[in-house]
Amino acid sequence: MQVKCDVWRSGADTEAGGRYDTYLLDVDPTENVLGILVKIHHEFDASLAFRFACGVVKCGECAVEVNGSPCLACEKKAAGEMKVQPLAGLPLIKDLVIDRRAVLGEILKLIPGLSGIKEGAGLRNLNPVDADKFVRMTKCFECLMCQSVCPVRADMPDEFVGPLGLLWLGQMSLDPAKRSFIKNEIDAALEMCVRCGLCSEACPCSEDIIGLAIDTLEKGP
Amino acid sequence: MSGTEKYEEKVLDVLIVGGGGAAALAALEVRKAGLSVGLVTKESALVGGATIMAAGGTCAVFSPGDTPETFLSDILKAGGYLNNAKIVKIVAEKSSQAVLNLETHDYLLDWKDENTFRTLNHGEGHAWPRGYLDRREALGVCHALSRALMRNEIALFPETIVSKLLTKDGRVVGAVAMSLVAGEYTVFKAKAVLLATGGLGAIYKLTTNSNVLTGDGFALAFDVGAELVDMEFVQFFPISFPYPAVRRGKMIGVCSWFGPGVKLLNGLGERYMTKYDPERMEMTTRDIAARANFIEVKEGRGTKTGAIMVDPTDHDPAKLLKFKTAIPHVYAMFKEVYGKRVAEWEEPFEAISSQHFFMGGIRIDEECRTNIDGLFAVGEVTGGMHGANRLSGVAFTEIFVLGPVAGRTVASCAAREGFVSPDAAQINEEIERLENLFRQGSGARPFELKAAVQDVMWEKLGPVRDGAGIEAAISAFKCIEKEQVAGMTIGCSDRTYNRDRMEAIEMPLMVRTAQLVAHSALRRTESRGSQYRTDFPERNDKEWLRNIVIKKEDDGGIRMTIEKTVQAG
Repeated sequence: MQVKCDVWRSGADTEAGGRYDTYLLDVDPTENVLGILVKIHHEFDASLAFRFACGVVKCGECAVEVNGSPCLACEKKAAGEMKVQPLAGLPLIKDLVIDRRAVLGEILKLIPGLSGIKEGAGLRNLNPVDADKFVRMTKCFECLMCQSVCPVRADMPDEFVGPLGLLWLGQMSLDPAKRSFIKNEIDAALEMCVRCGLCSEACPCSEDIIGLAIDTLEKGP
Repeated sequence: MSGTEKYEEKVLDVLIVGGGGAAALAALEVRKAGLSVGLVTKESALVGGATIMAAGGTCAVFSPGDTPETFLSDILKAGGYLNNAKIVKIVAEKSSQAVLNLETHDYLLDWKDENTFRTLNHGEGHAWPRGYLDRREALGVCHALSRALMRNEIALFPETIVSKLLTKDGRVVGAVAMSLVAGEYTVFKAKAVLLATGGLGAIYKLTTNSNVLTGDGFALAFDVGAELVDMEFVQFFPISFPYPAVRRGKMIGVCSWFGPGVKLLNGLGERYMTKYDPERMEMTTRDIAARANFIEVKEGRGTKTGAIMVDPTDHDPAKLLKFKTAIPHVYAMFKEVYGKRVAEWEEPFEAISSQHFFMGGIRIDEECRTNIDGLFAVGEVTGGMHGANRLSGVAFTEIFVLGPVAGRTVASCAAREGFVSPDAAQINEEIERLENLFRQGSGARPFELKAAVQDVMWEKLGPVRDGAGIEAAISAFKCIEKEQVAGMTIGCSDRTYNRDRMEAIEMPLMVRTAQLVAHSALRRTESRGSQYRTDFPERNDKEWLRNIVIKKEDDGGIRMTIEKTVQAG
C-alpha cells in the first residue's frame, strides 16, 4: 500500500527547531510504523535518528507520536497518511529520539530515597492481595509515554514525579522497609496529580497499572 | 587521521559490557563488594538484551522429589554430553536458591501462596515440573534489576558500543567504546572486564532475539586471545512470525503448546512430519520441528509467502486458555498479526522457523574466568553450560546462578589487582581504525553488509548444514571482511545518533563471529544436538564426544583444537 509519512526532523541542535520531511513509500499492508522508519533510514535518508531494539513490544524504546497520539512504533499499524513525531514534552536528542536518561533522572532527583534505601526482603512477607498488586505494578517497561502525556509534569518537571514516578512510589509503598522513607514524596505526588487519566490511556500495558498505583498510594498501608 | 581524535577516559574497578540480566546481576554483586563498576550497553533500556525478550520460564529444582542430580542429568542429555559438567553442577545445585535470591533485589516472584508458585510448568526434556512462569514474563525481573541498578548508583553507559578490548602484556586492561547519542569515544580503564553481551541472534536473517544481539562479545574476546568453545551449536525455534517485517522470526511457540492435535502442513497441504518423525509427529522435539519447517520451505513446498502452516483447530480448550494466560504478551501479538479467528485457534496460520539461542561461546571455568587475565564472561556469550543443545527453560537459570558468581569473581580479581594503563598507541590505533571506518566509502551501507551476512548464516549455517555450503559461507564471509568492510558507505556524516556509525562498528565484529561459527561447524563432521549435517547425518560418539575449542593464531587466523569434555569430577 501507498503511505505518505511526515517525519519530524530536528537535527542535532534541537533548540534550532525543526521541520517535517515527507516520504512516500510503498509498504506491505501488514507493516507497522517501525518497519516504515527502518525503510526510510535504509532507502531514503540515512540521517534519520530513531530508536528501537526488540521489535516485539517488550523494550519500550521505540515510543513515538503518530498522528498526535503516543504509541509504540513496533506495535502501531501503518496508515495511509501519518505524521510521526517524538514523544511530546520530553527533552529531545535528535529527530525522533528523546533523552530517556534525562527523563529518568528527573524522577530520581525528586525521589532521593530511591538511591539510599537498602534492598531487603520486605516484599516477601506481603499479604496475597498486596503481593498481587505489586506483581501487576511491575509489568512496566518504561516506554515513557505516560510521562509524555502528563499535563502536570509538562508544566512542572522539576516538581512533579509524573505518572512513572507515581508507579515507582506505588511499588515502593507496598514494601514495609521503604514506606516510611518516601512519605513526603508520596504526599507531594498525590497532591499534584490531577487524576486526568491521560497517562492510563497512553499506557500500553494490558491493565491500568498507573491507576492501580495511585489507588494504592491513596489508600495507604 | 593522526590519532588526535579526542576521547574521554573513565576509570573503573570493573567494567561490564552487556545490557541483560547477567550483566545487571554481576554489577550489583560488584557494587556490594564496595568497588566502582560501570555497565556499557548498546540499548537505552537499563536491562534489556535477550533477557527482556524471554517468555520468562526459569527451571530449577522446585518439585519435592526432584534433585540437582536429576536436573544435571537432564541438562547433560539435552546437551549431547558436551556440556562442561562442572558448570552445570553448580547451576543445578544453586538453581532454586538463585531464583529465590532475586527477591533481595526487590523482585517479587509470582507466588500463588506462601510456598507455591502460580505456575510451575513441566517443560520438554525435564524429568520433573521445574519451570517457574511469571505473569509479567521477563518484564518483572528486568524492571526490578533496572531499579536496583539505579538504587545502587551504578555508572551506566547506555547506547554505547565497545569496539575493542585493550590489552597490556597479555592482560585485558580496558576497552574503547563509542556512544551512539553523542558519537564520542570513551576509553575505559579497568582492573577487570566482564563480557555479558549475550548471544548472536542478529547475525541470522531470522531470529527470535533482539536486533542488538550481533555477537559482538565473541569477536571482542577472540581478538584478545580468549578461547571459545562449541561455536557450531545454534538452537532454532520452530514456530515464529513470518510477518510483518519487524516481527519476522520473532517467537510464537513450540508445537506442544498447541496440544497433540496440532498439525504442521506445507504449501501443498501435506502433513510432512510423517517424513521427519513418523512416531511422534508434531510432538517431536523443537529442533526436529524447526529443521522440518526449514526444509519444507527451502525445497519449495512452502506457502506463497515462504512459510509453513500450523493448524491448531483440533485442540483442547484448556490449552488455548493456557496459551492466552501463561504468555499473554505473545498472545497479544499473535492476535494482532493473525486476527480474531486464528487467535481463537479456529483457522490455521502461517509460521517459519528462526534462530533462538546460542550454546557456544567464550570458554569459562565454573567461576566465569576465561584463559585471559583480567577478562571474565557470563551468560549466553559463554560456552560450556549447554553443550550441543540447551534444555528448555534453563537460560534464565544460568544467568540467575552465574550472574552473581561472575560478579564475585571479577570483584575479587579487581580487589587484588592494581590499575595497568593501556598503551596510548593502542588506543589511538583503534580510534583511527574507527575514524577510517566512518569515512565515506563507495561500497554498501553497513545494514546491507549485515543483511548479506544474515542471509548466508541462515542459508548455510541454519537448521540444515553441509560441508560444501559451509565452505561457501566461509569464502563469502572472507570476501565481506577483506573487500567490503573497509569500503563501507556511511549514509550520513552526523556524529549525533548516527545509526550507520553504530552498525559500522558492529559489522566487522559480526562477520568475525560468523566465521567462528562456520569454521567450528565445518570441523564437526557429525550431527549432534542442534547441529544437523546432511553429509554427516549420524551422531558419532566414538570420535566426537569432544569439544571444539578455537583461539586466535598469532597471525590472526583461527586455531582449532579438539578437547575432552570437562566432567563434573
